[in-house]
Amino acid sequence: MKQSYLTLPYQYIADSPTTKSYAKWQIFEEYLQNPRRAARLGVNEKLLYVKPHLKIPTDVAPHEQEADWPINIDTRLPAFHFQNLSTSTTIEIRGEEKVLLIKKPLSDTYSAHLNIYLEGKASATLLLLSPEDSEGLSTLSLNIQTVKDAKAKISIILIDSPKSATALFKATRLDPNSTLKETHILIPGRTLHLESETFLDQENATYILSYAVATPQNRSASIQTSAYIKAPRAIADIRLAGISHNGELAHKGTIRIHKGSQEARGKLSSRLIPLTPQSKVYAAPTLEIESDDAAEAQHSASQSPLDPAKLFYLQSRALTELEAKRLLLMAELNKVLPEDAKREPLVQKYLELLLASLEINIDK
Amino acid sequence: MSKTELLESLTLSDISLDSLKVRPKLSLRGRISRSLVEELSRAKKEPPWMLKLRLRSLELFEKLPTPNWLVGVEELDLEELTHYIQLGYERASSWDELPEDIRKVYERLGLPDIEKRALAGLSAQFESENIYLAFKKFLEEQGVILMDMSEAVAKYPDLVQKYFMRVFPPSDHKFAALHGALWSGGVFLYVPPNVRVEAPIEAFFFIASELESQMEHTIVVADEGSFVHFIEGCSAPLFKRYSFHNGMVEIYAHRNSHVKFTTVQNWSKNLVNFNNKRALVEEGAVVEWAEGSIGSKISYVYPSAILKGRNARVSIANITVAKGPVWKDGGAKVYHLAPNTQSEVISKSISSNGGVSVYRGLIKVARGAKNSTASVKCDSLIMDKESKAFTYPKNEVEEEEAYVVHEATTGRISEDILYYLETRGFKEQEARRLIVLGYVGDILGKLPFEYQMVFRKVLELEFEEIGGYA
Amino acid sequence: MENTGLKIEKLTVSVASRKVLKDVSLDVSKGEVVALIGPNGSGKTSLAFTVMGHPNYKVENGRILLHGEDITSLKPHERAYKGIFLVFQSPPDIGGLPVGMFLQEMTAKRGIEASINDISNALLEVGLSDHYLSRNLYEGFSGGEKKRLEFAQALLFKPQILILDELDSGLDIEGVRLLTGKTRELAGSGVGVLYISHNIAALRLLRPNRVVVMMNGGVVAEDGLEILDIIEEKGYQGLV
Repeated sequence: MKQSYLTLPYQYIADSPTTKSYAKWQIFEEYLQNPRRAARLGVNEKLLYVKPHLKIPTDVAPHEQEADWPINIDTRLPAFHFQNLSTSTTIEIRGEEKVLLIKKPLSDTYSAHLNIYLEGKASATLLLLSPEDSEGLSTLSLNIQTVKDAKAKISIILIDSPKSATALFKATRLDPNSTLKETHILIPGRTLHLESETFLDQENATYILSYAVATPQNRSASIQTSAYIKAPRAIADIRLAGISHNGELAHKGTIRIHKGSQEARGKLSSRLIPLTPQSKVYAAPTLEIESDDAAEAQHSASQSPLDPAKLFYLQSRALTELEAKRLLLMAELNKVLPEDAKREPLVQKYLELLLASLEINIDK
Repeated sequence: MSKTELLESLTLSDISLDSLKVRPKLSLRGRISRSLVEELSRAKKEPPWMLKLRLRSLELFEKLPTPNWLVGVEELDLEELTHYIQLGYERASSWDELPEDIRKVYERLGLPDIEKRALAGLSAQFESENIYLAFKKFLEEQGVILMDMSEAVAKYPDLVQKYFMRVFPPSDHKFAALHGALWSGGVFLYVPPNVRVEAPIEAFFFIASELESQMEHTIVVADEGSFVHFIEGCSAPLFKRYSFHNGMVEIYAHRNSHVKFTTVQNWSKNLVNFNNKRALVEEGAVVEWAEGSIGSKISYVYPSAILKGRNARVSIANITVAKGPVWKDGGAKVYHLAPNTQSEVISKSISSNGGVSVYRGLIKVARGAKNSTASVKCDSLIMDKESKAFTYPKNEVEEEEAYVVHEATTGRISEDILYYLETRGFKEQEARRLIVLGYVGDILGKLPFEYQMVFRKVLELEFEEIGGYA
Repeated sequence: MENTGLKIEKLTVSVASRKVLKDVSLDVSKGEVVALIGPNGSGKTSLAFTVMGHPNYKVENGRILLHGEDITSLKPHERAYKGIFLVFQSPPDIGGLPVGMFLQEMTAKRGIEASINDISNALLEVGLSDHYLSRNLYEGFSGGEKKRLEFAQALLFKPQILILDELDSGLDIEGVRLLTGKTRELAGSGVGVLYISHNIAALRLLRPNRVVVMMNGGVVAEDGLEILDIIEEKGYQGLV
């Protein structure tokens, strides 16, 4: 295995005195210093509410393809990932629903790359359900492309074990006139580092990205969501609802609209809820707008506990304090989902799991 | 090509979003010698602690890394920088030396001759005006200390030492260190406990020459329960011979005091402006920063506040205009370190004719700062295809019982509003001007009235087709 | 019959060290409609919130009894479970919480079996179509819509004691007629009603059994409907 990735930095040199990366690089460093490919992979069967169509790695020799990656690899973690690939798979989904399961290494590292092509009314669900005793590192890259006029959906459900870690890199490109709605439901392990970059450089592409994240005790997540708009009438709408119960959660979101994107719209919103004194929540929403072509460019971030007026109202309706808290948290999570995702039973099930993982069992 | 011409010809059109990550590292030409600093201190007859501070700052300047986040400033000629400090004058010495466009603006603004000359830096006569003398006497009777910084260092060394570069130490960053080594001029203002100075103190009026120096250092100390409003700068364009300004303002608001600090700046377009501003806000105190900035080629200004005591409050209001190939980098930083602290930031920027406005902000709520609230609203208005706006806020919250909200909108002139105004008889350019004034309206209201008038006029000139200056 | 209904005994309550209720006593028996009126800031909503157990309202003296049981230290949800229902003057927006789902949760918690049909019917009864079921709770609702939905909740809740905080404000005349009529019906079936209002016309439609007047945090008068005439003629000052 090449060690050249060790010469690269984890992050770009700070571009201003206050630039900070919230990612817990030291946790990844533990794996990168002594890299070993995982011998055993597994899945938490209890959390598998649906039968997957494909389990990665596949038992049959996969149709290996070059890892197609549209982003420059100049930082350590992605460099390590692409030099350490165990699997590279291409999946084409035409107008149907597919559930993909990516197994988790019980120890050491497992790196997988997926090319996903979505056509028509395609729907992909990716499940990363770690066995409870796993201590391994998963690195995963997803190269997603919607094919012309697609009305596609992707759900990514990641439930990591307390001692494991995941790094997820996602590059998404939308063809003209296509729509992609992505929903992520994430419970990180020791740490999760996620970089999602979406390129809307074709006309009329619409992209809605929703995140529901929970960081319980001793868990952290740094989530970077970026949308780059380079074409007229493209729409990017990124929303994140994150709840921290003694954990750490950082959301860095970027909306970038280039010149020539007439009537494009970019929106980013971040709602972070710290539930306890030890919880840490960081938001860094960014807008980079060139020229006056964009019809809309805005972002909002709010970090505050649950509204006591709303909690009281719910309690006056016979809900206990705990029940009121849970209901209100669920409402916050649901607020970021697009309508059709809200109605999916699988999504609701995993949201319940997310809430449960926070272990809000005691009334304060 | 002279340095000035070089700066003026710098176009920012080649700064596209893609190239933002790749930036040339700033190179420093020449050196600042230790002996220069010693000579400077000696000439000002400074006490040993000040010389020590200067020398320590010089050391830090040499050690600290060069920031690579500066845009458009590729080379800093340290020798040229020190040239003006040595000579001790930084202003134009004749009316003709003023650029044509600045002279035109003064004429359009209709300023009286003496003001014109003062603005142009040609006159140091203001200090002898009678009104000024009467006010100064009144302040002295109240125990208010107001004098230029060098004088204060000499007359009240212990008092000044208590505060000089305490909230903004030279170790903070390379330019703070440079400032510490070479500072000159500026104002020291001390208001004793429970004294309320109701009339705003307009610094420019008093000590014009000192404030115009390249690295002026201003300290405002409001002792317990006092109130003061300090205004610096001026809306009409100021011409400076030097091209790099590195000033510093430190505010110390003691318990239950109230400080309003207003800066209106319109540097000429050959200037790179750095302004280090920070306030330390104690229990129950309030600090209000209001900044109106037009002009300068490149500017970096981030008023900041450390809310140290419980119930401390700060409000920061910025209007920034980036017209033409300029880079205006500004924002606000607030650190909530105690319970019940409040901060409010409103920032409005306008980019036109290829200008770039950047907002960089930080709201940090430390654990234990219970019941703190922070609200940030940063809006940008992009007037045309060539202009840009970048917004980089950060909210770091480590306290669960805190309320932090942030909103930013980058917009353009609304076609609907333009059309409506045109149906009411306004020509397109006039309509645009109205919209711009409406956009900055609520922040403009925070500036003192006379400044509002001039600022408004200058804004109007900026956005007119004919006249104004590019 | 003695121990039924709501009994408020000499309540003195403060909010953030400011006294909002001074020695207030008031009874609402089963099947009774008691109107509570008074100028703005007289303490009517404070009384409602105190009975509901709002954490900001600190009882310094006195107690609240429900059917003879002292509920003064019970939590809000416990009081709700025992049958006290408050129609809020300004209910909060809770985005992300669909009305239908909320109503199902609420009735389940109360121990009431309510099918989707029952819920739809409750909405229809107050003049709201069932498309409100999929809307988020109070998001984008007009004042009148909020009042109607609050009342629909009351219908589903089957309360013992119903406190209505300014039900009629923001409601059109048809709505006022409809909901005051339904209030009377609920009283007829044994619910004790405390009707807080400013609206003399609505009160006349309601025909309460008793009218209690509060001013400056205390009760200043208690009588029949004649009080309304005095107030219409001379204002609240006419009672002093």
